Amino acid sequence: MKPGPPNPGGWSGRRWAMALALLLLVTLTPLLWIQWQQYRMLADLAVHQVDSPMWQAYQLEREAMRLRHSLQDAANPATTAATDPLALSERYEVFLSRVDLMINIPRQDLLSSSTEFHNGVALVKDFERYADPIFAKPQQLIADSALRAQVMDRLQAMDAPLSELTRKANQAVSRFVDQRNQQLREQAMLVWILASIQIAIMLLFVGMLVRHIRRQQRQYAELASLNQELASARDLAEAANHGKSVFLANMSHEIRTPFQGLLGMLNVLDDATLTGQQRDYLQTARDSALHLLGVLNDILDVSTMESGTLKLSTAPVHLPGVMQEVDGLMQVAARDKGLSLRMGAAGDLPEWVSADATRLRQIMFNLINNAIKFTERGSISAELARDPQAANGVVFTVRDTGLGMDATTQQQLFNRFYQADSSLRRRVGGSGLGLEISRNLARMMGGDIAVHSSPGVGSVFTVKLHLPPAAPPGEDATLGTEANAARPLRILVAEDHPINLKYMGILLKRMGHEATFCGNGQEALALLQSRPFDLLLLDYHMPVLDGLAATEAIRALEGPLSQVKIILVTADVVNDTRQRAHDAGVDAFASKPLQIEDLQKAMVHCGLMDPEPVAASEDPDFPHNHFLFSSYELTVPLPDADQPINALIDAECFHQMVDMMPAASLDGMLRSVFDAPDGNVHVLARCIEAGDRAGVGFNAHKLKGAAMLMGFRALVVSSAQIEHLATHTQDPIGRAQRDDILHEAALTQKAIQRFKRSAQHPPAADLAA
Amino acid sequence: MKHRDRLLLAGALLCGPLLPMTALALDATQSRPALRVIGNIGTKNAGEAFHFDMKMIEALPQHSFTTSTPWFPKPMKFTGPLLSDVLATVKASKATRIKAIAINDYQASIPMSDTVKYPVIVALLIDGKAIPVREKGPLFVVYPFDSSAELRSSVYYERSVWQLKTLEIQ
Repeated sequence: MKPGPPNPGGWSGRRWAMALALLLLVTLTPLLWIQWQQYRMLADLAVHQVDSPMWQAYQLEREAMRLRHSLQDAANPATTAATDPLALSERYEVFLSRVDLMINIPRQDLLSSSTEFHNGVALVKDFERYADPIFAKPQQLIADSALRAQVMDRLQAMDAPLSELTRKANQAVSRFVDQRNQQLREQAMLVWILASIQIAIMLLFVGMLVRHIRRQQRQYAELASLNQELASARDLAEAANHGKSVFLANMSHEIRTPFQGLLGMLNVLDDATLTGQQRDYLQTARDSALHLLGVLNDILDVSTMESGTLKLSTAPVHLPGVMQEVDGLMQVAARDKGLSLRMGAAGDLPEWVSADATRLRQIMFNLINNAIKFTERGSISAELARDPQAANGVVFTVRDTGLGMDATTQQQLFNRFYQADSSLRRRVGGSGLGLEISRNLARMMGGDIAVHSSPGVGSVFTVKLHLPPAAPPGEDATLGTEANAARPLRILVAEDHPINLKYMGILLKRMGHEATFCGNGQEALALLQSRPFDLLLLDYHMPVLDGLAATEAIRALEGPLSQVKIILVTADVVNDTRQRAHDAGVDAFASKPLQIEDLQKAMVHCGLMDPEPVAASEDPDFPHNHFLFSSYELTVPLPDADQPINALIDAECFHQMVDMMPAASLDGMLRSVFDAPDGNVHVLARCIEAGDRAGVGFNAHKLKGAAMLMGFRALVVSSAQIEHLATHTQDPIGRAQRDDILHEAALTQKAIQRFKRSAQHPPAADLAA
Repeated sequence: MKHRDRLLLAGALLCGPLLPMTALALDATQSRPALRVIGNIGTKNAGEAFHFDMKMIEALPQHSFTTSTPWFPKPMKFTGPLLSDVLATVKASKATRIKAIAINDYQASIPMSDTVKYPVIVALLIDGKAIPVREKGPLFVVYPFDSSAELRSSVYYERSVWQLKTLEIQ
C-alpha cells in the first residue's frame, strides 16, 4: 500500500487546492459585492430618508391650505383687523420654501417620470410667478377683497393636482420600498445560494480530510503491527543466536571431554617404552588429534566472537618471551619448506605489557603460518615495533616473498572461509577461519589488520594493537608456602568420566601423590568428611552435585574442612565460569585435557608446592590452557620459552636414551649419525650430490630410523621427506635438500650439547636465550 | 445711611444691570421678534418670554462651519451664534431639553447635552448671505454633520430645524 496524500479523481493535491481556492473566490466575490451594495444602500438611506418625496408633497399641500386659510381669515370681518400683514407674507414665504424643497428633493428620480409631478410643479411655478408681486404688498392684499378672492381661487385650483402629487409621491415611495425589498430578497437568495455552495465545499473538504486521516490511521496501525512483527522476529533471531551459543558451549564440553581422554592416553603412551616406529605412529596420531582440536578451537572462537561473549583475559605479558615462543615454533615449519624466517623485536618496546598472551600468540601464529603456507621460496620476516602514531600501540608486520594476492583477493581476504583459490585450498589446508578470528582479536585489542600485496612479489600484513605497558608480576605471585614440593599429598579426585579418571590416576601417581577417586560431588563431600585430604580435584560437570555446587557445599561446612584447597578441572573456556567458580570459593583452575604443568601450576597457586622456574610469559594466576591453540599452531606441546630445543629434539625420548644407554654407547651412536665423513648425515649428503637415488632412499631411511630412536624430531621429518622423494617420486633431489639436512643436523648437534649441559647442571632460572 | 444716598444707590443699582442690556434693547421698529424664547429661563424682556431681534442675535459671538446637508446639493457655509450662547443669554442653565418650533409649526426636541457636545449653531447666514424665509430662513439650527458620522442620522436631521420661530426651554 503506497502511503501518499489522497487523490480522488486522479488529481494531485495541488490541483485540488487550486480548484478549491478558485471556487471560493467565485462564490465569495459576488457575496462581497452584494454586501457592499447593501451597505451603500443603507448609508444612502440614512442620509436621505428624512425628507422623502411623500413628506415634501404633503407639506406642500398643507402650506397651500394654510395660505388659503390665512387669506380667508383676512376676508373675515371679525379677524381682518387682527391680520398681521407680515404674518401673511411670512405664510406665503413658507409656502414657497415648500415648493423649493419639493422641486429639489434628493430622490427626484422616483417622481421625475410621473406626469403628476411635472403638472404639479408647473402649476406651482405659475402661481409663484403670479403671486410674488401680490404678496410683496400684503397690506394691499388684505384690503382688496377681490384680489384676495382671485388668489384664493387660484389656490383652490391647485388643490386637486397637489393631492394627486401627494398620492403619486406616496406611490413612488411605496414602489421604491417594494423595489428595495425585492432587491434585498434577491440578494438574500443569492447569499443563501452562495453560502450553500460554500458549505458544500467545506463539507467536501472535511470529507476528504476525514478520509485522509482514516487512511493515515490505517497506515499507522499497519506500521505498528509491522514493528511488532519485526520486534518478534528480532527476538527470535536473538534467541536463536543465544541458543546456538549455548549449544556450542555445551558441545565444546562434550567434545573436549573425550579429547581429554584421547590426548591424555596418547601422552601416557608417549611415556611408555616404544619402538621408534611405534613412536612415529604415536606422533602422527597425536598430530592429528591436536590438529582436530585446533580446528575445534577455531570454530569455538568464531562462534564465541559471533555471540559477542569472547573476552580477553589480560595479564602482564613478557613480549620478548612471546616472540621467542612463536619464533621457536615457526622456525621448524619455515625450514621444512626451505624458507628463512626472521623474527625481530624493536629495542624500544616495553618489556612487559598488559595483554592476553594466548590471543596475541594466536594472531602471530596465524599470520606467520599463512606466510609460510603461501610462500614457495624466499624469506619471511616478522617484526614487532612501536606504533609511532598511537600511544601504547605496537605494530606487528609480517612480510613474505610469496605468491601475493590481487586486489580482489585482498578485499575478500578476511571473509569467512575465503581462501585464495580452491586448488590452493586443497594444497595448503586450514580451516579458513584464521584471518577472521585474527582480525576480530586485533580489533578487540584496540587495533586492526591491514594487508598490502602484489601478485608474484609478496604480501605484507600489518597488525596494529593497543598494548599498554604493565608491571611485571611481583615475586609474591609465584611464591607459595613453605610446603616442600616432594611431599606426597592426599588428593581426592571427583570425576565422572572413567577414561579421564584413569588418566588422572596415572598422572597423579607419576607425580608421586596419593589419589582417591569418586564419581560425583556428593560422594566427594561424604569422603571429605570421613577422612582428611590435602587437595580436592573436582570436575565441573558431574551428576548429582557438580563442581561448583560441591565447592559451595564444602565452603559451607564448619571447621577446618571448609578450608581445604579445591582445584576445579574444566573444559569450559568461557570466562563466566571462572568468575563464578572464584565466587564459589575455588582456589585454582586446571583445564582439560589435564597436563602435569597445569596441575603443578595450580598446586603452586594453592600454596601446596614450591614454584619451579616458571616461564615468565605465563601468569600463574591464570594457568594457560595449553590446548587452546588453533589449527595453525604446530602440533607440538609448547616448549620452554627460550629454547627451540623441543622442536628439534623430543626431550622425553632423548632422556630415556640417555638414561638407558651408557655414556660411551651414546657417544658412539651420535658419532655414527653426525660425524663426518661416515656419519649417516654426510653419507646421505654425498648420495644426493652424486644423484644416487637408490642410495639416497636407503640412507634417508636409515637416518630416519636413528633419528626416531633418539627423538631427533626435525631430522626425522627431513629424512622422511627425502626418503619419500627418492623412493616414491621422480622429483629431483638437489642442493636444497642436501643443505637442509646438513643444516638441521648441525642444529640438532647444538641442541644435544645444550641438553647435555642442562642435564649436568641443576636447572637455573635461565630465561635468556 | 441718609435717605438721599439710599435713593442714589437704588438708582445706580437699577441702572447698573440696564447698562449691559442696552445692547439687548429691543428695536422698537421691529414688532415681530426674530426669535422668541419661552419657558425655564432666567431673564425675560417681554412678559414671560425673552425676545431676540436680529441685531441681538448678530451681537452674539458668531461661528461658522461648512457642511453638506440633505437639503442642499453641495456643502454650504453656515454662520451664526452657538445655541449654547443663546441659551446662556437667556440664562437657561437649568434647562434639560429645548423645543425648537418652526414657522410652519414643525417641532423638534433638542437635548441640552447636544449643545454641549456639538457646536450646534443657529445659522443666520448661508454662504455669507442672509437667509430669506422661502429659502428656509431666517434662522436655521444646523449641526456640523460632516464632522461626525453619528450626526448623519435621522435623529439629528430632525433636530436641524429651519424657519426657527420659538425656543421653548424645558
